[in-house]
Amino acid sequence: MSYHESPAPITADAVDALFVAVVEVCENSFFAFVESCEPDRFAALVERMVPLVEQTPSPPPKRRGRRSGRAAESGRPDRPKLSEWVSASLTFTGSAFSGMIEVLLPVRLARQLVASLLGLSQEVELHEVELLEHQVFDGIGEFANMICGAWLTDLSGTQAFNLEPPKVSRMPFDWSPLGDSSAEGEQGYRLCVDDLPWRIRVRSSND
Amino acid sequence: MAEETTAVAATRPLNILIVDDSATMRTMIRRVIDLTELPIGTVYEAVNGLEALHILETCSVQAVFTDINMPVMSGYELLTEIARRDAWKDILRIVISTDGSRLRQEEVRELNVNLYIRKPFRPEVVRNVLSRIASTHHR
Repeated sequence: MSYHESPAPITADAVDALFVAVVEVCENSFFAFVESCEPDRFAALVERMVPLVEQTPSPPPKRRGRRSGRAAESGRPDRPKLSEWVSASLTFTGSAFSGMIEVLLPVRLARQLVASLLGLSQEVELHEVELLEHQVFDGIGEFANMICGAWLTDLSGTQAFNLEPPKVSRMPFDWSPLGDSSAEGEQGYRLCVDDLPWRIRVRSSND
Repeated sequence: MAEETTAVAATRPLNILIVDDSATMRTMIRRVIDLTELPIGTVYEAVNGLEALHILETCSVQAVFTDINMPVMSGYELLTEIARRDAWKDILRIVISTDGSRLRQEEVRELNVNLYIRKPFRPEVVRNVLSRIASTHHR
């Protein structure tokens, strides 16, 4: 049983095949059990997420003491806070249709999935190994790449297809998956892994 | 003496080249290789076909695991180049790709690819492939 969003030109069979590809990738390579989420549950899971206190890295101060204290008191603006949400997207061209696929997920889930792929879940959980942001981004780009490849393999049959390299970036700080409405012609799923919410959406450029 | 030679051959380590533009995938494949109990020599890594060619020209490699879709030089171009050179005819070629379409598989089979592994795959798939390669290599 799965829930998908607004109606769109991509056929229902293709959308069903996307969910199958998501499950295949999550279970076979990332050892994760993925569930589809009704909108209410998805919203509850998003709201339940405790915000991570993450800020953009800055170079360490050269001197400690009164100067840094004065700088703080002078009302210097805080460094920008980072969004908890990451987007991994790639464009594809195939015989059935061409378009774009995007995975939107919290950084903590991205880290969990990449650790699992690398067989480092326990080490990361115990803080024996730290996955750096570029490693997490590379891994989650591969996650999106695998889903898209598995999906198009199923849809394309004998025909080959081309995938562009994935692009991974943080969403704007004030972005929320709850306030983000799907664009016209977009299809997707609300999902969760271990009660962490995430989304996948596809758009055909043939529309 | 002949027995000694055979014994040495049986433990001759296998040098492997992993070609993938994703550092995560290279690390994942390397970790699976590390977990096998096979006599593995050096594991080289390349981010595209061009880098892989440079390694093949300068190092002794018995097996190549390559992605297909890569910038600069694709896995298809790399495999074409390997197939063209007589000195590399014995290198075992394994493709690991997200593109599982029949057309793509047929394209690379014409380049003497020994095995086509479609992503996503479970680690034991690579482990089993390595066991098969090792038994062939040591025969």
